[in-house]
Amino acid sequence: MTRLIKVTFTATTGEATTGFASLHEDDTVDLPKRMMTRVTAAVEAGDGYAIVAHQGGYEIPLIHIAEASYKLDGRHATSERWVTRLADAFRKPSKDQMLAYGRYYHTLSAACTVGLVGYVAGTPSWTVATVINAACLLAGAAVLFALGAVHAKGDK
Amino acid sequence: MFGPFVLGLALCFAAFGMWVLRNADRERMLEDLDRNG
Repeated sequence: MTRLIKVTFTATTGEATTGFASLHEDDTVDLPKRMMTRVTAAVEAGDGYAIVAHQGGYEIPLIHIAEASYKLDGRHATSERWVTRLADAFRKPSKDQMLAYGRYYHTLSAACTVGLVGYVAGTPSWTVATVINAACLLAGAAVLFALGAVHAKGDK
Repeated sequence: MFGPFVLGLALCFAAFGMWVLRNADRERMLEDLDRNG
C-alpha cells in the first residue's frame, strides 16, 4: 500500500519547499515532479541541498536511489526537542491546535457565565461592588467567547 | 472585588490568543506562498 509522506527540500540558496511524496511499503519514496525539478536545478547550479521526510515528529533524511526514487534513512532520523515542540505549539500552531485553543477559550467563557449566574443569584443585596463584579464577569465571558469563536474557525 | 481581576485575566488570555492567532495566520500565508512557488 502506498501512503503519502511530508517531504521538505532545502537548498543552500535558502530555498525551502515542502510537499507530499509517495511512500511505499519498502520505505522507498517517490518524489513529485515539482520537487524533482528543484533538485535538478540545484544540481545543475552546483548548490548543495537536503531532502528530509517528516513522520511521527521525526525528520528522516532521504538517500538517493535512482531518478525520483529515494529511500528513508531511518538510522539518521532526528527529532525536535520537546521545548521546541512546545514553542511551536504557539509560534506555528496547526489547525487542530487552534481548534483545541478555541474549545479552551469557550470553556473559560462558560466558566465565567456560570460564575456570573451563581454570583448574581447568591448575592444578598446589590451594591456598586456587586454590579462591577457582575459586569466584569459578563465582559470576561464575552471576550473569551469571541476569541474562542475566532480560534475555532477551521476550514471554510 | 474579584470581578476586575477575572476580567484582567481574561484580557491577558485574549492578548495571548491574538498573538497565537497572528502567528498561525503568518505561518499559513508563508505555507501558501511556498506551495505556489
